[in-house]
Amino acid sequence: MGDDFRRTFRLDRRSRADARASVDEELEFHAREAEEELVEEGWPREDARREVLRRFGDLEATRAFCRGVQTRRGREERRAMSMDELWYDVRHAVRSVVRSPGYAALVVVTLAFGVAANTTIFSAMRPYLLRTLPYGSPSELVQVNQVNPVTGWDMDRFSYPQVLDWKERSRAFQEVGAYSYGVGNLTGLEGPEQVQYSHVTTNLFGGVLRSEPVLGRNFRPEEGRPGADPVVLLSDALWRRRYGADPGILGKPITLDGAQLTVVGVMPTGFIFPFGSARLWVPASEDATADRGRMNLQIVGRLNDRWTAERARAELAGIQSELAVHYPDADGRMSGVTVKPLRAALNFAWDVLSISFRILLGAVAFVLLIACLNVASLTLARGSGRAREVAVRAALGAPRSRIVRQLLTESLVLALVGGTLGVLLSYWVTGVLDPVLPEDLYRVGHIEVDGAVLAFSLLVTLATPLAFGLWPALSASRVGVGEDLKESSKSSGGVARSRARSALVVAQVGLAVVLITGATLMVRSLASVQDIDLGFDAERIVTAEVTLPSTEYPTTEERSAWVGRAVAELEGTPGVASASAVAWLPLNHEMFTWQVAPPEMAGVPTEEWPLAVLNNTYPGYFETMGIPLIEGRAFSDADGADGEPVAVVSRSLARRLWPDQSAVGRTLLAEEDPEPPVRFRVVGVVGDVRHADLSMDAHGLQLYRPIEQAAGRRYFLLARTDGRPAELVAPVREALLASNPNLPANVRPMTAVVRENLLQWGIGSVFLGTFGTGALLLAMLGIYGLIAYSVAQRRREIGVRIALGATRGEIRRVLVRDGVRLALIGVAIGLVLAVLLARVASSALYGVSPFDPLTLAIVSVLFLGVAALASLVPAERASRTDPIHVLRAE
Amino acid sequence: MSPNARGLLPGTVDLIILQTLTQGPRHGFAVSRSIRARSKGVLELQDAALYQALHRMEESGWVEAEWGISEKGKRAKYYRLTPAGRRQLDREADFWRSYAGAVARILSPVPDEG
Repeated sequence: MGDDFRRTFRLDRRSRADARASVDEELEFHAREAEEELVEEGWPREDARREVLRRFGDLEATRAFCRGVQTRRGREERRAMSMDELWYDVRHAVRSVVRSPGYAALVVVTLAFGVAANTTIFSAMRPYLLRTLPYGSPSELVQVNQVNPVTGWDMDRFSYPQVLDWKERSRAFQEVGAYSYGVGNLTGLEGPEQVQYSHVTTNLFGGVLRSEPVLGRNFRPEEGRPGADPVVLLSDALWRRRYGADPGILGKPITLDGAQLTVVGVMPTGFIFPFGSARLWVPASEDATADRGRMNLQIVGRLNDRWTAERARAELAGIQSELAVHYPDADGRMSGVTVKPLRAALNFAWDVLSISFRILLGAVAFVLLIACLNVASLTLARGSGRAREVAVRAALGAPRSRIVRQLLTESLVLALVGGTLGVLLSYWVTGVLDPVLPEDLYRVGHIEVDGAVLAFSLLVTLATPLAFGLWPALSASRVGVGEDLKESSKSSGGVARSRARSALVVAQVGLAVVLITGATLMVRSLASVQDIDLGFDAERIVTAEVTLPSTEYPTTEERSAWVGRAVAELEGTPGVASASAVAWLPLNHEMFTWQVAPPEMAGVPTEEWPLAVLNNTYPGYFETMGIPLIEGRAFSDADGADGEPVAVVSRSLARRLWPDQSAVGRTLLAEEDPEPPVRFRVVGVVGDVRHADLSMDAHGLQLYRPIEQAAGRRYFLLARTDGRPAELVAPVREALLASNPNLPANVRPMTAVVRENLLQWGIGSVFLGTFGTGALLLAMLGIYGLIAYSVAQRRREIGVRIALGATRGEIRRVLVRDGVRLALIGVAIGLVLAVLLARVASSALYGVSPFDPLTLAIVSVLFLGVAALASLVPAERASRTDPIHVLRAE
Repeated sequence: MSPNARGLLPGTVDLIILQTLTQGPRHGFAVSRSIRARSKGVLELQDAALYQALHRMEESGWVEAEWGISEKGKRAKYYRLTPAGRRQLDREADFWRSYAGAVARILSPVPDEG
């Protein structure tokens, strides 16, 4: 028995149900055989079955055991089989990729470009917008501002008594702290150095931010009280650079602005507050009896559980209006409250950055899409060349899903190579990018390809084969077996495929048009920003920022005297044509405003007076800056501290206050909060300058006072040269050191200050330009590939046409027309899309409309030209087809 | 069934099944009947234990299974000895032979040691 066994089919354990059914069937076979045996022995059939079961033993336990074994075996077999197939697919993919190196290289380079663009932008975004802030539970941290009812702007400064009131009345916060920042001079054995530093309430680091020093301790509450011994916390960067990472620094004094401060701690690496270049922290003066109107602190709070920013805002708005009743002169001047997440509040350029990154992210997504379309088009073309191979495999019994999977594996292998190359490229680009971006913009850590970025890139890389490989794979696997085996080069699938490729080319051109339009609009914005008349001449000026320590220069007279000496020293420096000084440099993101009015408006509430930008200037300022004097006179040495209060107004302010009349000689009231208004005599009118930013609206109203009548501690010295400002930087620094060897100065050409304001458009132009050019090249490649492909498909037709008398010119024209027609459709779609997107992003443009006809014309001509060129090469080749040769080859 | 039939000693189930399969592929029922016939009813292998052993050995790779058609034309699951199964059988058989020999020697009458 058993030798007559015939094999029928292998065991089927493809699913759990199959595995279980096989056990049942086996046991049932046994039972039936045993039953027959008993019946033959003479058992009645109805008893036989029962006896079989009795003799069998524990049938159910056996069934369960065997089912378990079979299910397990099935799972293992399936796993082994799919590993086998995968391994086979990968080997096959590598082999077939190696067989067509041209195709593989194009795909890899295209995808590398797409992945690199995405990886780079994502790496650049992370420190600004995404990476966790370096504080404990940072999502609970917010900054609170009041709202100025006149301008509608946020007013983020509070006096310490106000901070206390808000802290006591609000239930929204676990803890409330405050800070301000400034520039100071470090002196000592290590040499003089200008540093940015910050005043913080003693509870800010430990209580609000939940950040502890790595060395030493946080501030103690008593260290904020007036008269406490001065102490300081160092940043890790300063500690390492200036003090050689000496742990013995704790308890030692350092000298800041002439005062001795005891070092109590060093904050950890990566801790930044309120911006990256703040190098040390000192306690803010926590004096509950301080002047309520002297608002110099910004509030940071840690929200309680279940308190959102919006809920806190509602509560604080109520508190604000209560306080406004109690203190009409201080709190009463504001109305309303805004509550911002700390990240947005600490970043000066939050709005610009978030819109720029959104635009760039959109741009790189487009780049990747174009790259995928291009690769899809290449793959589709290759698919038609492989119809025969696919047909053979289908005929040999490979199911369609298997063929699709195999073609996809091929795409995946290429994508992984391209992705790896792209990530390597990003490593390089981010390495170049990181050091050139300014440190003052709040960011967490560096611009680098880190774990999260790698995960993102991997995701992008793995998504691309689906985008570029799935459709071509489905299309390639859709073969009629007989048909594709019989036909070879004249495959009938060609028509449908070339229509699909045409659609891909149109889409590519459209997307590339959007990018190039965006880049052109950015470049045009940059050009019009650079063409702006700033109102002063930035080209020939060098500026030097200095802060006079109050220990060394305690009185106004001493400070004024030093400024006079320094200006004289500068004027004596070879190469300097004129010199002066000013309190707030234009376009340096500092603005001090006063509400001003003519005496006739004295009865009107001051809240309704126009707001003017104030500046304190040394004699010779207008001449040095190249601001034209329109009427009257500029300040002179005669406008000293004891002289009559005088003012110079800008042309716009003069027109606003005294329309159609001369402003010179008139009296001007200025609200010097919280004192009663001060009266000034207007002695001159000068041209408007751009002070707050490059846009002119709202800030054209300017008011100047003589610096001697308002001498502060911080000055910008200015030197005008007839030569190149860069050559004057070193002499200016030496001249200032001559006036005080312990005084550090930050010396820069004025053009560098102006350039910081252009960063947004500069970055936009460079990135969009790079991406746009890449996209243009890809689209060109797409058109070229399509026409070349169509020429190859139509060789016979072209041969016949030539044989029938068509001239080469005619052949060329027909083919080029095909390419240009596709580009035309793409350009039309792209321009519509570009205009729609540019309208959404119009706040990122300057001085150019999203509909700018010149831009649209440039882009259209560029793309049509490129399309013609890309079609011309294969068309030229086609027109040289030898009809005899082609027809004989059939 | 013989009245003095006994259950199999532990460890011998596999041995006996593997030995049965040396004659060629068998389905479970055939294995069961073949063991009963060859031991002349002395050894009783319960069907439940037989099937669990077959499946266990299939998982160990000592036997492999395929569907086949029985002599009566029915679909049945046939087991076949694998090379690994044959090696296992040899090992087990060697052990049993030496074990049984030792037991037999101990049971034989003790000669006088004079």
